[in-house]
Amino acid sequence: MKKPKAPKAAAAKPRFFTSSVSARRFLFRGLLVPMVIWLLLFLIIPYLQLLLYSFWTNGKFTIQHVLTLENYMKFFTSGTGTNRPVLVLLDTLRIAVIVTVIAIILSYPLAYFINFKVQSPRAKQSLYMLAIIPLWISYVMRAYSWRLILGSSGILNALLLWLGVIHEPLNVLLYSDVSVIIAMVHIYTPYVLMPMYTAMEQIPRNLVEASKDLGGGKIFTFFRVVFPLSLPGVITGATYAFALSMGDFLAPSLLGGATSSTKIANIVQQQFGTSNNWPYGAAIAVVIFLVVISVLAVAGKIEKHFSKLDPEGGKTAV
Amino acid sequence: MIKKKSLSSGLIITLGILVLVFLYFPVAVVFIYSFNSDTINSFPMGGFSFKWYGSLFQNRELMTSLLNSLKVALAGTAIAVIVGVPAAYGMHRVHFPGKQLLNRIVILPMMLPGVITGIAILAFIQEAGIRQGMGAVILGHATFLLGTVLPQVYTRLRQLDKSLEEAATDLGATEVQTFFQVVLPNIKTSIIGAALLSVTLSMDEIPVTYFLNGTFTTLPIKILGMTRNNFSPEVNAICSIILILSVAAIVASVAMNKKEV
Amino acid sequence: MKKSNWIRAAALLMTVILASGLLAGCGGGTTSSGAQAAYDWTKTDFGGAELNLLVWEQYADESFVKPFEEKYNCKVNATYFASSDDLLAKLKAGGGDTYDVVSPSGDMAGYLVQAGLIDKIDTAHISGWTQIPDVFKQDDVVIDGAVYGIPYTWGPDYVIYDPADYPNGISSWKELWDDKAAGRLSLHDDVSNIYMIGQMLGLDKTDKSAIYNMTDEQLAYAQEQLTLLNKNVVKYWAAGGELEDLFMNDEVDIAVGWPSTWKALVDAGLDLKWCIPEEGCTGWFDRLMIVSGSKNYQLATLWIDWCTSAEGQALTSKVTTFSVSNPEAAQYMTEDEKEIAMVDTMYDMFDSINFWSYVENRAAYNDVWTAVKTTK
Repeated sequence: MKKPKAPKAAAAKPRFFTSSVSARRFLFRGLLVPMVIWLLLFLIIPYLQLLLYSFWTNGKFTIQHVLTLENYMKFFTSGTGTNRPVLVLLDTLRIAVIVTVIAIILSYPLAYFINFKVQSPRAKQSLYMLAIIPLWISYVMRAYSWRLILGSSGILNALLLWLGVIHEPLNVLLYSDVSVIIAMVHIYTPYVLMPMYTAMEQIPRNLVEASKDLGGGKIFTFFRVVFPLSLPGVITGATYAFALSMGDFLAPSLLGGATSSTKIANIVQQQFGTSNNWPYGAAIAVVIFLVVISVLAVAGKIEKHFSKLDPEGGKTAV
Repeated sequence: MIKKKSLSSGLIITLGILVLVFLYFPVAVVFIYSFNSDTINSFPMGGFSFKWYGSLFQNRELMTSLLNSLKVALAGTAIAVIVGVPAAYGMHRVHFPGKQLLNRIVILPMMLPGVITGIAILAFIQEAGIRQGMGAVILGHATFLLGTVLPQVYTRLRQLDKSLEEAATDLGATEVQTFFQVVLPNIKTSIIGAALLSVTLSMDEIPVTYFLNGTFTTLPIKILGMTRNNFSPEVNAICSIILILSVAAIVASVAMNKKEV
Repeated sequence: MKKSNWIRAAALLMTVILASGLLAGCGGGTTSSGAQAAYDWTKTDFGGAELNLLVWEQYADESFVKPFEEKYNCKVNATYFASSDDLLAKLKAGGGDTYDVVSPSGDMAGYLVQAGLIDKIDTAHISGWTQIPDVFKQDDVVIDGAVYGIPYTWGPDYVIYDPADYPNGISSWKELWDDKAAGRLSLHDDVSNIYMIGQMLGLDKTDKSAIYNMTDEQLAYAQEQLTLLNKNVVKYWAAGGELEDLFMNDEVDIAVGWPSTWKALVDAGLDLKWCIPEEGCTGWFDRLMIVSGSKNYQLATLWIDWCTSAEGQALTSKVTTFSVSNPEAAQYMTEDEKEIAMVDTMYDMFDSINFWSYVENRAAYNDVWTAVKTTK
């Protein structure tokens, strides 16, 4: 692509690069084609294949190409009491929601703090980076460290005992839903922080100033100006936390206890590992897919509603 | 640097700092325990020793896995950028039905449990006759990294002042010139940011890698294996080193950007 | 103009296809048996070839990998699996392209052979074969006279306990359900816990294989009992290292585990003992096998030869504390090592363990186990 730096004046544009409308269309479609092909080959077809697997039968040594609904039947009807796969899915949903809510509660003040309470841009950038840096430590390593912190002979118990807050170590902290939630919150908070921070960053400061100048107090400004404009970021962050928690099989297996180490993603993973039942695993995967897509659709609608306040991502005049 | 105003300000500041403490407590634990003289981590720490920082470089498998992860991260990110950036530009300039759909599809791997994407791609490569190994892993990573690069770059493109591009064209620039000289410089930071995030995500990816790797070990898989089988604080040590290097890199880049900010 | 961009797009598409073509190594399909080729058995230089093992933890320790690598100028890579089904899934996904040698336990060995995933072994080239007692050579891996697996190591899944809490260990598995063990117990995250219930029912007194073929009723009972046990279990360990972690951090007083875990903890300074309850215990007998379609048939044979030779067995036992299948290994072991591996009492020990066998209805066992872990 060696073109002369200065644009050519007037006539004689190379035939190669005209700017007719239809020509442009082809140019830009050409740019898209590689990605579309890549996605088709390595994403869409695989997912569709998985869908197909979910309707096949599991044989003794290999998968039989015999269509059946038994995998879905197994998912929706097998088990008794709390071990029904559907209930495991709901339980995982519950955990995902808890993790999402806590992650938001933690990220919001931090995002707000960095955006509005810190003045120097360099400090802002540094603090923001600081909040993201934990992502650079291996997930497994971080989860593993929580064992040392939350164990019955661990750091937190030692601290609480020393402070006299408790007299017996708290056993419920580790190898339970508690530790699974804590670890997930810890790991997904940076993912929630990022879009939240970006959204807040784009709130025009003059809006905030104007609101204060016009007599709105801090509380009013926050609830009527800052918060609504930051919501799209909150929702994006929430969807990340939710989706990632739903699919997390590591935190439960590393930090879960006897009955809290098997979430729906673990069951899926087992079908492709220990239980060796690919069709059933594929069926569960399809169900999870539909659940997450539905939640995303709802979140998308909510975000759209709030984005109406600010259609150009921060460039609209009030 | 910090505006001290009132009670509510103080509250926000306190909360913010508490959250940072929560985020960093395990990081500190990881770092401190890299000096554990015991082989297995327990509280209180057995003793102080630097030995793991020495022995980790002798750990052939660990070093290989680190190198493998770097290769995959760079290759995957490169593919995602080469394929994704032009695509983002294409999406930005052309209106076509299904744009929304394309946006949604590309982030699917991020939104779905990694196991699903991993097994889907595994099933596919088996049918396609592609072996498990580095190639398959790079393929898998590039696929989900597109979901990091495309949305970020596309969002940034949409924020660009359209009049810039129009002005360039009015002045006689060709499409190519417009892209390379007007658009690209303005989205540069966004591409770099997306690329950095991509490398980060790829270096710590487990579910997709787990199903595609065969005998090709990456760092996070090796670490997972070590926490299960032959643990030693070498894991703490290597994580600490990566952390320190990352922090150094960021400090350096922030210092360099001093003028631009 | 349009042409150039279509050309560009086409070129990119071509690259993508070419790339995937390159990635497509020799995909599945070569079912030629390595056993049928002719080899020069005096060869000792394999030019840096890579031998890929798919084995239980510790079966690729430096102490016996290095001498082999040096002797044959090759490189040994190991992938570990956490359970027998895990082995199956990895093997099915990777096949002979990815792995050369596998070490299944008795519950999978026969199955793998029947599934056509394993290649014949020419025992003429396994020096330890004649030294291994017949009683260890189980026929689930012999088909039409052809041998598919060589006995490697074996051991019990026994009880590891802290004598401070259990001065005499436990005499019956039933004691695990006592309140005394509340929140202080750990078991293997594996269907083998169902076998334990079978032993408690006394099913294997007359027929050892009964616990691997439990009826639906018996399985339902097992599920019920194991669900009750959940309240005592702190965590189910998925790999030896996790159990070590639990003991080191004083989270458990009693557990079902492997001798290698017990030894590692004792070496780390903990005072722990082991015992086998009156109902007996289950155990595993691992075989070394060559994967069908392996690219390194000869090297794989040599590896198995090394591992089952007297010296190789001694080295393996030293690292793992597992019992050996080649009694000649004794000459290379110290008295301590022999005691830990129970070399002198090996036949008695062998008789007292109910070794994992193939479970026909494995799907049902898996379902029971998953149900136990998800019943709150």
